[in-house]
Amino acid sequence: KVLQSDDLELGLRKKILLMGLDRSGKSSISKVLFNNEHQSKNKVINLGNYVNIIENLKGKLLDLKVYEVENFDMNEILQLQQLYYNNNMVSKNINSGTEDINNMDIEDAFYKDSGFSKFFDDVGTIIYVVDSTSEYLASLANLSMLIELAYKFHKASNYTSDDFNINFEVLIHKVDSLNEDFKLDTQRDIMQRIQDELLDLGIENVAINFYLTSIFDYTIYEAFSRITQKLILELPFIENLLDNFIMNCHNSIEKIFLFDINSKIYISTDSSPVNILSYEVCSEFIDVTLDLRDLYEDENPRKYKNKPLKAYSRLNNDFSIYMNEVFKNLCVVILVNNNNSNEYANNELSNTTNSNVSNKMLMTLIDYNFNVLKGTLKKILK
Amino acid sequence: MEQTKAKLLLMGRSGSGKSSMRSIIFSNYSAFDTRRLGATIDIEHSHLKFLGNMTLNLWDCGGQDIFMDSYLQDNNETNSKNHIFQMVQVLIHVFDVESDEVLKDIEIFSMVLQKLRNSSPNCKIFVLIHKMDLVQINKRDNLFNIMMSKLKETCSMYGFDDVKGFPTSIWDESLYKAWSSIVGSMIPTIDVYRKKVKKITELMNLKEFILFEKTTFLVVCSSAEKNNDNEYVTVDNMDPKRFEKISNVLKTYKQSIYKLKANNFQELQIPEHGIYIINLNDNLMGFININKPEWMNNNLIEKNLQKVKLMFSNIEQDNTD
Ligand SMILES: Nc1nc2c(ncn2[C@@H]2O[C@H](COP(=O)(O)OP(=O)(O)OP(=O)(O)O)[C@@H](O)[C@H]2O)c(=O)[nH]1
Ligand SMILES: Nc1nc2c(ncn2[C@@H]2O[C@H](COP(=O)(O)OP(=O)(O)O)[C@@H](O)[C@H]2O)c(=O)[nH]1
Ligand SMILES: [Mg+2]
Repeated sequence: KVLQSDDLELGLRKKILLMGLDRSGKSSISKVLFNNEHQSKNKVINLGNYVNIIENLKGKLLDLKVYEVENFDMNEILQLQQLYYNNNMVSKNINSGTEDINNMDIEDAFYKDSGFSKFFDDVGTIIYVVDSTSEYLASLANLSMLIELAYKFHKASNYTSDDFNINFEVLIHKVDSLNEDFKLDTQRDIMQRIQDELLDLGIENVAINFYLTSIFDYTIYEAFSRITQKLILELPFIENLLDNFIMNCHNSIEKIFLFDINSKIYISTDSSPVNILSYEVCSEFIDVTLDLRDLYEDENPRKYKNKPLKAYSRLNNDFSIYMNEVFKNLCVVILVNNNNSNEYANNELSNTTNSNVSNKMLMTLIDYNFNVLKGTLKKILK
Repeated sequence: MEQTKAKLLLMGRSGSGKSSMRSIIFSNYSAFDTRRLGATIDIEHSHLKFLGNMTLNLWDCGGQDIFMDSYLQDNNETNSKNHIFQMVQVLIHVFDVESDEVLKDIEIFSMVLQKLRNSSPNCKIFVLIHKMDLVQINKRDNLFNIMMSKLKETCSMYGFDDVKGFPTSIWDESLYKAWSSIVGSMIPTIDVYRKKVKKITELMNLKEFILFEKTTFLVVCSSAEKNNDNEYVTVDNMDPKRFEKISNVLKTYKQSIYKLKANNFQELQIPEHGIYIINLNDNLMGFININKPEWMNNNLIEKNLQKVKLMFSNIEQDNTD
């Protein structure tokens, strides 16, 4: 596929792995977020000729690739390690005939084996799904083995830098079936166990975060939004742009989001706190717009696909919603508070109280600022 | 302005989905919310204002056997229950497509018809074959046709020759199609609306103009451009389900913006695609699809929309002439 000039992407080069035991909810999550099974490709990663891990390339968010890893069983990896160890023992014994083989050497060799370490190459984030409704001890044990393994591979391949730069993001999942108190207890319990485990293993400085999620509400989108944002280097700059946007519109903007249209993950927002209801309304507005646009789709797909997606709605109270496409798959959605804008209009044009006029002026202002933002984003992402 | 009242009976076996559809169409429930509903005890009456001058008296009749028996028994001394079947304009009978007692369902339907033949012989009959989502897609048409031919036969046995049926489900837009048609058949001034909508479509050279009732988003009437130039755009190749889809989308949108404490919206526009949805008056929303939006200038469009609004601002008064 040839990239069009408008087809810009955020500069994420790191992989995101989505892991967890069977039935923890991985497939459901990628289906809800990326819901494009027709694009899914199966890719086989060859792990040192010992085992094939099926990688499921499920979704593409900007340049972010989310891989769902199926059948990843830590015990299997440990057995492999044992096998590797035994094989090397034997071969070293035969070759050198000496007794003084250093265990550490062999272990080191294992972690340096290019086949294995490839698995962790370029991984920015490992999202680990824990089913909170089931007996999760086995899942946590699996997770700490995974962290240990990743850590050792990292040590073996990076003598120079000390900071271990894979983010571990633990989704305490299916919390819709837990009651409020139990939810927090479960979270506390899981966090405590993992911290203890890491302490025992002597692993320090691991970035590990926890989220309570469910595919039946917005928690999963919120979690993925925050996880993704950590990988965007330009984030502070973009956030700044959005803050400026609000300032330039005379404070008539309540909230502004930068959305990935496909997944409804927000890439960035202004620095005011996120209200989940505002997020939901903005995200749902994208769907409403897409649905309405697609109604007359069959008539002339060629013509309409090239048109930018732009929509505006004025509500019965003081709010309006504005959305506009920045480039393919990336759009801004803005929650406008006309109440403030009326004040502004009244001040600027003392004798105009017609809210229609002020509305129009505000839209012109937002359109203008949108174009400025679009230009800047294009520049910094190029 | 004259008030029109209409009595609608909503009948069917328990669990067939009557209260669910009523709550979705008239009380802004989502399909998901209906799982909270319990069985209806006896009859729940609702008075629904529709298009300002119409009141729909909807009788949601609990379908458990003990209630059905009490409605249907021929008790001449205490005629208390028999008024149910008097002065009925419309019967909406709901059949659960997954029911394992089809014969019993039909038997009850015929008993209802018998009552109506005596008390309200001019009543219109609608049957909804409901919960279609539970049937495999490729089997739906066939199943619906079989059910309908059976039910039509039953109706004509009781002298009701004009019966309309719809396959429905709360999980898709089919519910709106059915209810738009039911309610549309009851609007006395529908011709006034039709004429106006048609005229506007022609004058403004619109691709399509659809009139929606504002609280339910049921379709009142619509008009689409005739095939007047040799372009591909004709009514024939538009999505035949678009009305219901729009209802569904707009209702979802209305629910979404409740979160911002807005009880409805004034306008929604997707200008590049020529789509404008505007609030026309207390009862109506207009969905306007403009031909060749790229040829039109924004001010002109806006002026036209204002004119459309004006034409509808006093439509209910006009009706009294
Ligand atoms: N799958 C499916 N379920 C439905 C549909 N419509 C309703 N239901 C479910 O069926 C159940 C019963 O629905 P009600 O609306 O309470 O049934 P009712 O006809 O009012 O029952 P009574 O009040 O006892 O006469 C609810 O749990 C609904 O969620 C549908 O179209 N598809
Ligand atoms: N209650 C609840 N169930 C979920 C949630 N996410 C997934 N599930 C269920 O968990 C089961 C296993 O999910 P699946 O995605 O196949 O797990 P995978 O093996 O990790 O891909 C399925 O029955 C899902 O419906 C959730 O957020 N809440
Ligand atoms: Mg009921």
